[in-house]
Amino acid sequence: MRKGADSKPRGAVGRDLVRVDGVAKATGTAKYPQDLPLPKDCLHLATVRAPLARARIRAVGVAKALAAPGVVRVLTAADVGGTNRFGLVEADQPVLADGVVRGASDVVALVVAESERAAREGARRVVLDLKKEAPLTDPERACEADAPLVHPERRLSGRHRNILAEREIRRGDTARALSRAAVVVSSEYRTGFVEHAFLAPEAGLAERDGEGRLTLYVATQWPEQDLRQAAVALGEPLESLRIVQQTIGGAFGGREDISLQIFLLLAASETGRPVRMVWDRKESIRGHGKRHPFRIRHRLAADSKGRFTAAEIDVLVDAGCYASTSAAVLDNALSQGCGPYVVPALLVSGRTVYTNNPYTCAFRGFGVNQMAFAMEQQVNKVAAELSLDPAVVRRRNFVEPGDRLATGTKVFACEGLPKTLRAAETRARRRKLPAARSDWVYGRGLASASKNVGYGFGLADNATAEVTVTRDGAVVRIGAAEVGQGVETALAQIAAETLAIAPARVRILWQDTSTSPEAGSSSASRQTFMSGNAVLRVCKLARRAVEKKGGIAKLPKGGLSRRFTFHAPRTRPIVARGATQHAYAYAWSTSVADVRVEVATGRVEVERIVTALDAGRVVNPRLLEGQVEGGAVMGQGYALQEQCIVRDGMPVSLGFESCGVPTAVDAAPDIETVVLESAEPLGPFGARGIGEITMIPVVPAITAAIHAATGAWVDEIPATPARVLAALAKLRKSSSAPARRRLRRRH
Amino acid sequence: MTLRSQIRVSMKVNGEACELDVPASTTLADSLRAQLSLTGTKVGCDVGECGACTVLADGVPTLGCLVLTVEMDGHEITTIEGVADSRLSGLQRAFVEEAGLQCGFCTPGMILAASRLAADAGDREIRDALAGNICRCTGYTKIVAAIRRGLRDTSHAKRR
Repeated sequence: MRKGADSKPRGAVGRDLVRVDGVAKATGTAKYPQDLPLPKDCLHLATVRAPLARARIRAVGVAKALAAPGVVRVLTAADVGGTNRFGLVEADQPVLADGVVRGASDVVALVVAESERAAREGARRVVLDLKKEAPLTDPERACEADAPLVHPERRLSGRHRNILAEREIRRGDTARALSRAAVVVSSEYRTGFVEHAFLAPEAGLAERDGEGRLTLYVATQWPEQDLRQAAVALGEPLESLRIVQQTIGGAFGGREDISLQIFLLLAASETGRPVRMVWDRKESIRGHGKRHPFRIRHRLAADSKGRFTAAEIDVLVDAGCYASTSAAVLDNALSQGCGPYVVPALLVSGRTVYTNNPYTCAFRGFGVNQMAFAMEQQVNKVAAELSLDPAVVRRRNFVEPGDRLATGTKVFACEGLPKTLRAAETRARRRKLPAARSDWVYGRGLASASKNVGYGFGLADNATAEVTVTRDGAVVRIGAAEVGQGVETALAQIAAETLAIAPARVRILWQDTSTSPEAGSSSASRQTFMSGNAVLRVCKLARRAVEKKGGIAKLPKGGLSRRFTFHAPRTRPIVARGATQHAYAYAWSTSVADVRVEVATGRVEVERIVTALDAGRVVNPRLLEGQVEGGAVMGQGYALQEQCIVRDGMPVSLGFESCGVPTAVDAAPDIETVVLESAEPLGPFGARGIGEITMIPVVPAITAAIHAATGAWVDEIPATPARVLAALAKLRKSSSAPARRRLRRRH
Repeated sequence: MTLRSQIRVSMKVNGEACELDVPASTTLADSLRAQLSLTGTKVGCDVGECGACTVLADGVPTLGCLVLTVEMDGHEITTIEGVADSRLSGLQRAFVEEAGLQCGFCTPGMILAASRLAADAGDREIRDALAGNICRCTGYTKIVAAIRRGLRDTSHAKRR
């Protein structure tokens, strides 16, 4: 059910248009990279990885592998023509390890062979002479003066070389505010590594096209950025590289960094033949990044009415063995450290540090999830201390238009935030929470959140679209990766609406970097906003030009083309003091979770999740609901069961089950979406991005529900049965008489 | 070099008889994908955890990565390519129209895993039938809705 639906314009935008890629996916004809037919003469590639997260490489013995049947080449660092370095922000990752192993994702050699089996057999015969070193796995230890260095070659002035980035934001006098507060809540929160677990493991195929370009058939969130990194690492001219995207089997941030792209280009370039590689699930989990573990120390102060007066927050973020986007994740986390609330006095500080753990990278929410978990728990603890309704405390502190978030960013278009809280509560109350029976106790929890749309922080953020309008319809070229979120369909709707033609007459071509202009990554909840704006504007230009010519019927045979680049509104990097405008748009949301907890075992089941979301104007309501529901279950997994266990720097959870990915039986059986539509001033037709916020408030809503059910605070996620039991035991041992009474009453 | 002995296997795949020569260790999923080019059968984990490779063996949902091709000698296999002829099946249409798919990689397996459910299967039954099929995108809600509708539509069509 959607509110405000009557304000929708007629036409394509705002309708439940069926996905344009739906039939191909439902019939199995959609081609993912692993499904491509083998070209003639195709070679196969296998990786050689060290069994250790930290080692010196004394020698790589390739002779036995080369002698193996079917093996064509064994490639090592010496074969990489360029810098042999890549990375989304800092080029600190070797294509092939040269001299040292820093983490589980490192590849020491590649075996090229006539068959997949021969490549794997060959890989087994490569002899690695490694000198084992003790891996650095503790981020706290990494900051100590005598800690082993992960990247000793880094040149930095005055900073520990394991510290990738460090930030501090101060506003007002927190010490004074803390000393005068009616209540101060101090806690430490922890979160773990999480695996993206997109369904299609990495795969790809590289070959020279008819024009001599090295062409990569792959699935990636940002093809142009892959090619820019590959060009430098391999020493190939950028113009000689091309990506043709295949159907993308999920991403969630895990396909933003390079995985096997450069390997394939290198092998195809070296052998002059087509090369294919398909990773299995284990290699996928070893080969790409994870969600960042955070340790968050949090003090939140409030007056007797529950109005926040100060916060001191310090975070330690494990970047793992390579930089990836960890510094940006830290910025994003700190910038929203206080959630969607006004906190007058503030000290927010953080570090992200290198270790020999798996590198950590973009993952739906980009650092906001961890902070929202901590902040929302704190808000609930303040409410509990003051015996106030947690919803009332939230309402008293929500940002209003013109207020500032943690970094001093002024927010506008946030009128929807309190409405999401009211709507979620109202909808949630339609169900009566069951009374405790036998060993199960029931609880309902609530949490609110915000998430920025787009890169922000002064980073270049733009999207280019080209449209050709003919008598038959329109072809829009824009390289926005369809990762499953539905951007291809949404853009078709925006183009159809703007050109006033039927959506079926619009084709979106996003796959080929040689013909579709760059749209930037499918990440940061940005494609509907950014590519949507680019498509809207280029179609407006085209429509005006068509009208000038006297209508579509008067167009020449080839039609009429226009091109437009949409630049995001200007943003600025974080500054230590004073205000900064780090983002240009936000989405707002509140979730309510109903859980039941088995007191004897600590097991938690989620019975229902209600999410109310201020989505701006909705382009496709059903696809939006799909995002909300998918985000809810991903949030549920993060809250209760998902964790990629890492031992000595190596991930040991190497499958869906051991990573705790929720099944249809685990997932909340009842997920409801309430959509509020208040137009985003800058969005296309008033739309804003919502891909990430869908999971953020769900996590603290679940931990709040566990507290409501049991009286226990679980401050480390996932809230596994063991952690819930420990929290219950702590409650029994240390709690005040009233808390014990509460617990007794419940049982 | 070891000589890998090939074993001849006769199966009926999507209604057509076929003979394959495979090493004994080849899985059904690999044979379908590599030898018969039926790439609608997906391999997401290769160890029976994700269900993306679900096919029907004599009408029963079966994980293509956990059975060997040689075990299927004389049996009848249906893959996603064999579910519909020129028109979408009821389940397929429901997955498309109810947005029961996003990235789509789990979809063929989901459709086949659900295909044997009774027309009046409840949500609980549907979820139990999908317990071995992972979807990372949808949160399962729209998949369950699509299956509920698809089963109903299919049985209505049969009755007519």
